[in-house]
Order: sequence, then structure tokens, then C-alpha cells
Amino acid sequence: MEPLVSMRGVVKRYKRGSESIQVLHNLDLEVQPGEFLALMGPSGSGKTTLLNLIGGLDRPSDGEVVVAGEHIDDLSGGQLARWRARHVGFVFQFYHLMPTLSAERNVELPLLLTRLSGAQRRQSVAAALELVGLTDRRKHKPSELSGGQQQRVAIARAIVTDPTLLVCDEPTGDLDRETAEEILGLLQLLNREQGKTIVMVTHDPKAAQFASRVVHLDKGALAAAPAEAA
Amino acid sequence: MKFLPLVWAGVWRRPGRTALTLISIISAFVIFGILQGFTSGLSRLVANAQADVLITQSRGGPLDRLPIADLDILKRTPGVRAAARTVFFGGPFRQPNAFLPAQAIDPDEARAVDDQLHITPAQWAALKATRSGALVTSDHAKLYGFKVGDRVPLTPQFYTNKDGGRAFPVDVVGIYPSNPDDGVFGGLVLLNYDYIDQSRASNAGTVNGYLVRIDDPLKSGVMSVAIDRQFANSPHETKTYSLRQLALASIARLGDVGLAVRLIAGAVFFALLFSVGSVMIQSGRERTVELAVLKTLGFGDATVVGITIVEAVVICLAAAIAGLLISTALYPVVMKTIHFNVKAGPALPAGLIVALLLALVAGAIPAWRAARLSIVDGLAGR
Repeated sequence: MEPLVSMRGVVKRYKRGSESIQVLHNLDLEVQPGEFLALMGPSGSGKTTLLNLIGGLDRPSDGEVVVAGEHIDDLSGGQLARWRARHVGFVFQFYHLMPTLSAERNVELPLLLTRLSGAQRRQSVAAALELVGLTDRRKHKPSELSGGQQQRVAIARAIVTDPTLLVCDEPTGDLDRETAEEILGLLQLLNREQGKTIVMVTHDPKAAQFASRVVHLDKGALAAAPAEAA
Repeated sequence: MKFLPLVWAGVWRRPGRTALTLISIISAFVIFGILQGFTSGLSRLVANAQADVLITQSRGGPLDRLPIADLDILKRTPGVRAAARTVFFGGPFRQPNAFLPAQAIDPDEARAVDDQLHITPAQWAALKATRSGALVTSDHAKLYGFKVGDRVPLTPQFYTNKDGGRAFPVDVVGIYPSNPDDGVFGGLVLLNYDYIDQSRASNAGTVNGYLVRIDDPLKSGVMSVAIDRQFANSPHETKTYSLRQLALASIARLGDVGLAVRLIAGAVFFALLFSVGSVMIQSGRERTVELAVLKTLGFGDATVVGITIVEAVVICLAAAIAGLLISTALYPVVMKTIHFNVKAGPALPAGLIVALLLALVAGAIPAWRAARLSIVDGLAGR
């Protein structure tokens, strides 16, 4: 089967003043369609950098990144933005919702870039909010929701366009254990029942247990280790 | 349109700050609206002054009289199409500080000189048929409650009645519409010269001046000289101007009003640009993460720039419209306070252009930053 994500010889360097810091070293990685991959590793190991490259938020200094058949390292800024809108859903540690918009308006944001009519957008938003169990909270603003509810809204926003890939950066890092397990359960449900491919960065071994495969990073290099099924 | 909720939410992200910004822009546009209304009102006065109408007065000034016999000489002058006598008959009305402008004319002569008046043939006929008749403007009728058939006692500034009294009773025979674009007789109470001339105690057989309509407006300078030459070395030498020259000269006496207005408005907007610009920059900085999230979701640089600029445009245009509406309401009060009687010209088109420019300049820096924002840095709050 063709991998959904294929990275070959990926190098990422950052400039800090006159100093060049290499974060990823000649990294190869494949993620199969329908896989739930957890990226683990200590702080500064390059997990978020790797996630940013997979999600098309950043470009490699060297090597190639192919996602859903597209060489995303070759795309222009505008092409990459359109590609992200079509193919990737993002979930962040701190939810990153628009504080002045209601839950449903937040979920609607990615749909504003599509050609859907207002009625079709409302229908998709309602379906996404129902899937995450927040239909009754659709009119609430983020400040009126708990952390877990905000993360559910962020997940609804990530899936509302029905993307191929979900990238999640520490999605439970700001939540208590019980809420974190609810969110991880929801991601697992999306993976198993909706067939979403998920790449998740986490520090938490318990969170990693929800994934179907765990990959360890250390000092910008991969050290694959089989994960126990959740 | 689908981005409007996003723009609106951005505008009201900090309601207190947005309200203060709106107030400062509204205040600036109130000042702008009054100044612009005044200068464009002056420009309209000049533009509306008929180029083909000259005014012939005594060289000593409009209060020196000319003999009525000069009328025939003017009418016979080559290049003159028509000439009309005028006698200033305005004066206080009902209250010492309320001035009612009036002129004594010959209806046929006035019609021949000024074809821009909105007076019907029936109203002209009524004035001719009633020796003590008066045509009043709709503004004056509204202000003083005049109705056709009313007998109104005029108290002119410079004349007394032969009967020894101050009052000259006239009969309202018609009410004609007030219009800012009326010609030379617009805005006046029009009376029959014969009645006034025979009723006044002094200066019978004289006028304050003549309005002369010429065939070719491009020859107004030549015609002015030709007319004055006819009366040179006579007991009643004349000075002739085109109405447009007269309007320009009146405005020039005020100084360079346009420059003064531009300087004041420029200073106000320069200060405003800094305050609005810094608010926009601050607002953009506070929203670095939000802008990065929008870009993460697939919003392109142009869309993010557009949203940022439209927010600035919404704030500036809404405040400008509010400020200009307030200035329209305040304008008459200001004119009364500074004792000027210039009807406001249009301020809205210039105001909207200025508001748009203000928004584009004030929104330029945050928009540029939004376009250049790296998603990775933005999400990290850098």
C-alpha cells in the first residue's frame, strides 16, 4: 500500500543569529493510511518540527516530504495553504480557538475557504459538533467552555472539511487525566471508525498507548519502537 | 461576505479600545466635515455664479446710487442681451437681529437676466399684477409662516416710507422654492420697483446697481470695460464685474481659506493616523497566534491581509460616516456662531476617500506583518 506520508532524507536546520542549528538529521519516515502514529521523545528532540513538516506548516532544509501523493516541499506558499485546507486537520495543545467567535463559528472557519453555501456549511458544522458531542454548546464562546470542551471544538474544526490527515501537537498536554482520556478516545474513534490517519506528538506514554504505532525521536533522529495496542 | 463575521469579531475583540478609536475618528471627521462643507460651499458659490451676468454698480460702491436712466444705455450696449435694475430693500424683520433679504426689481427685466429662478409664469404674472406684491422663498415662508394673501410690513435698512413710517406693507402673491443653485435673485424677497420707488421718502429714480446679461460669457472682461467706459467722466461713474469675479473677490477677502482648511485637516489627520495606526499595530500583535492559526487552516497571505485591511476600513468608514453626519447637524450652528452664511457643500465624497486612505495607511503595517508572519513563529507566539 502507498504510504500516506513519506519522508526521505529530511534535514531541518534553523538559523539562530549567525549560528545554524540542525534539528532533524537525514530522517526517513512513512505513515500508512489509517494509521494512528504517536511521536514521542524528550523536549528539543524535534517532534514538533517533524509534525510541522508533515502538516505543511514548515519546509525541510533538505530531503523530500510526500503527503497524499503530493511533494509538499515543492509547493509555493499559496499552493501549500490550499493543500493544507484540503488535506490536513490540526489540533493544538492550547486549542487555539478564536476567542471572539462562538464554537460553531470556530468550526466553520476552514469551510470559509471552500465553495460550500451557507446552508451546506451550517450542515457540516452541525455534523462535526455532533460527532464530538457539543451540539448543545455550539453558541458558546471558548471562554464559556471547559478545556476539554474547547479541545473537542478544536477537533471538530479539524475534521469538518473531512481531511485525509489529522496532526495533533500534544492534544492532551493541557488537560487533566480524565478529560485527556476522553479526548484520546475521541481521536481513536475518528481513527477506527472514520478511517482518519493521525500523527500525534505527545510526552505522555499513557497517551501514546492509544496509538497503533509509536515512534521515538532523540536528537533529531528516529528510533522506532513497537507500541502496545490500546 | 462569508468572512464578515470573522472581520466583525476582530473589530470588537477589545470593545473598549474599539469604542475609543471610533470616538477619536468620529471627532476628527466632525471637524473635517464642517471645514470641508464650508470650503466646498464657497466653491459652489463661485461655480453657481453665472459667468454671463455682470453687475454694474457705482464706482463709489453699492451704497452709492445710479440713476435709472442708465438702464437704457446699458440695454443699448452692443453685446448686452438684457439688463435689470436692483434696489437693496432688505432689513430687520420682526426682531432686530433677524435679517430678511429683499430686492426691488422689474419682473420682466429680472426674468430676462436670470433664467435659473424656479418661479412659475403665473407667479411672475401675479407679481406684475399686484403693485405691492411680493414673491417670497419657501425657506422664508417656513421661517416666518408667510402664506399667499398675507400682508407683511417690511422695514428696510436704508429707507423710510413717504408717510414718515418705517414700514412698507407688501402682499405675498407667491412662494417660490428655495434652492441652493438658484441664480442671482435666488433666496430674496422680490418686490415691484415701481411700488418701492414711489413709496420711499428718498432716492427716487435711482438704483443700487444693474444686473447685465451678456451674449458671450467668455467676453465678460471686455464687456465690463466697455460698459464702464460709457459712464466714464460722468457724474455717476460705474464699476462692472462678472458675478463670478465678485464671488471670488469676496472669498479672497477671507484669505486663503482652502489652504487654511487643508492645513488644519492635515494636522488633525496626521495626529489621527498615528493614534489609529498604533492601535491597529497593537491589535495585530495581540493576534499573532490567531493569525497564525488562520494561516494553518489554509487562509492564504492575501486573505489574511484582506481581513486585516477590511477591519481597518470598517472602523474608519463607520466612524467617518458618523462624524460627517454629526458635522451636517452641527454645521448651521457653527455658521451661526461665527456669523457666516455659507450653505454647506458636499463633504461626504471627500470624507469617504480620506477615511479609506486612513484605513489603508493605518492598516498597512499590521497587514504587511500578517502577510510575512511565519506560521511556526506565530503559533509559538513569537
